[in-house]
Amino acid sequence: MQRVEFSYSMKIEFSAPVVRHCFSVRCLPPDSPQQRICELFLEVSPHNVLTETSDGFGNRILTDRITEPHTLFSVYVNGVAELDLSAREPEPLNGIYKYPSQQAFCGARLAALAEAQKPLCEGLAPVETAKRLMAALRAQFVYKGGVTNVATTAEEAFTLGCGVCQDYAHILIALCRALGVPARYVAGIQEGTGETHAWAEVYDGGYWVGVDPTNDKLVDERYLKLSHGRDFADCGINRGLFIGGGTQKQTIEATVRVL
Amino acid sequence: MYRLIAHKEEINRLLARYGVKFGIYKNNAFHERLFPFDPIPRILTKDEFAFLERGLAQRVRTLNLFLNDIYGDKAILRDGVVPEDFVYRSKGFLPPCEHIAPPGRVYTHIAGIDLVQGRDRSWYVLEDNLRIPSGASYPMIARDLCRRAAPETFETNAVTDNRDYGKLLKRVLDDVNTGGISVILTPGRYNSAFFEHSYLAEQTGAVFAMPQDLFVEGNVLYYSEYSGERQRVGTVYRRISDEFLDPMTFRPDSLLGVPHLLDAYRAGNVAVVNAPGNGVADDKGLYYFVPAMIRYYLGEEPVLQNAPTYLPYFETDRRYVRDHLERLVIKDVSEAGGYGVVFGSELTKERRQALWEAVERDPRRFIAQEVVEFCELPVAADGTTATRKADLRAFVLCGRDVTVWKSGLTRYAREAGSYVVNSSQGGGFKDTWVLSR
Repeated sequence: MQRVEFSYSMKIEFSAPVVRHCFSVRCLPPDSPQQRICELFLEVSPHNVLTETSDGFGNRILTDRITEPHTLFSVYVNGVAELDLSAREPEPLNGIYKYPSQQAFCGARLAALAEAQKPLCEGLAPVETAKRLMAALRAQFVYKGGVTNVATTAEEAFTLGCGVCQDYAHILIALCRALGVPARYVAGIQEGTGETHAWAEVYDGGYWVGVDPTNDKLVDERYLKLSHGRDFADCGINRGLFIGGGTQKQTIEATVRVL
Repeated sequence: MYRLIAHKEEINRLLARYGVKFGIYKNNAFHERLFPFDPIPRILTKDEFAFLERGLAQRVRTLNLFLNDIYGDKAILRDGVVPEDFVYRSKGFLPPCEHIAPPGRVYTHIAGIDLVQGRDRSWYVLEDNLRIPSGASYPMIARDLCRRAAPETFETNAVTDNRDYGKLLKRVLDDVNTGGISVILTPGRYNSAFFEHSYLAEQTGAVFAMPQDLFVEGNVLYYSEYSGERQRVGTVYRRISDEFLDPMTFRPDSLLGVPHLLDAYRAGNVAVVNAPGNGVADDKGLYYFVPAMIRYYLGEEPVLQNAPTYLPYFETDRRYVRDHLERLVIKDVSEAGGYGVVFGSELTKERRQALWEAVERDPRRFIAQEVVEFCELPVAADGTTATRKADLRAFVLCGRDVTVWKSGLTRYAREAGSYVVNSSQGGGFKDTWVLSR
């Protein structure tokens, strides 16, 4: 068991006032046997009248609508969690994670890679298949910021040959599903990076197991989960809509610190 | 009833004046068209309608149970009655709608079921429309104009009045209302059914709203009045498709939607008519399984039959389709409105081969059907009558009860011999009379 302190801070500064600002923020970590949330502090500016609700994937969402003009929008979450990977409980599988989704699907190139890996994964357990696919993906993909965006699909990123954690996760998910391993996308925070992170989970024998293709390892007790879905489009941490604003500058800081 | 023929031009002129139009998008440009009206009605006898009524209510009740199941427990998948491919690969299946209990457990508030009658007089269901079926307003307003043009026709024929559709619809909106006003939400005047949206608002007394008139706060949907006052909304009959409905959940670039509407709906604070996510149940691929679903959920034999359909997804069906392609009609399940429908008999050998290859490549994407030789109906043409193939869209309303509207939209093909009756392909419409004795 690992006790960690976590924080998530997001700030958007607008060069001109915005109005009718609607937002859905998935920044409240789910409370589960593997991730006990012991303390939680939340502050939202310009005001703190929020509605907490959930989505179709079981994530917690904070929503609100700010009508008055504002030039700053910020969300700050801070708390303490106990992470314990051994405390897992079996979960039923939702079939949606077996099928290609909007951003995590195989086009021609990924399908060819999946096809080539198929004989090598024969007889392997789902987690071992995921590891094998992670190695295959990493042999052809490098980390590079600024070349992809939030809407990039697995196939597009793979064709570019480089991208960020979101793209690594999408590609691995697409490959896993192509080989019959159910997989889903996770948004969260990893210790020591100062940023939000994304990884994959694969379904193995009744349990979801985290796999981090960006760092070439299985998820350990230094990863805090915020949300999950079929891909980024389902569960991105922050989604907003407003009128006005000129240019905007977004600053995000996210930390997990071992206590 | 033939007396009505003399009034054909006059009624069409009035329809045009009232703005009874539909719009189509062709090459990305919006065109508005009149919907030609033929004055010779389709007539359903009392017994014939009673039969259809039984079958339609049974079918829609089943589809509603299916939607409750598929966004909840998914027992039908576990029991292997429907292969999961037909749910999870369907564009209409929306995981963001999972585990929502719609008010009154109603998904299929307004169902438009397309039927044809074969030459042997037996009826076949061709398609279920459970998203935003349009068309009820056309026979309503046409009936009204016919009654004015030739009132004596309705004195000598025992025709059930169909002008109660507004009342039936209002009852549905009231039945599922969670407290508040009912609104009809239109995307605006460039929608193909804008005329209908405004007409139905008038007929039901619901508030006619544009997207910018509505907002969600604290998981509650409100209508903002001109004065700046807000009114809570208990039912929204939205005429905006799912993908544009809520930019916070679906397409983020939608300007037609209401942000957070899905959250308010999930919280049980508003009824959304029809329920989001219904597309999974009217998918052309899923259609094949409806008779099995009726047996599964109701333990009854289907009253109405499907047109004989083959799923290339199943190997035996695939072989049948390969061997009989020249006499089958092939439909692309991802298309609607008469697009993506190909008759094997109309293709050259090469194109038939190309079609077969497409089917083989992605069998899940297609269904194949025997061509139903549907009976033709008379239409008035230059002082005489001709015949055209026609279908019938029946409207089934579900609130606390399931009611089949005693009328329907009869659409006929533009060209003699053609099977394509969709209004977007240039066809016309007729009134549908249900006799009261």
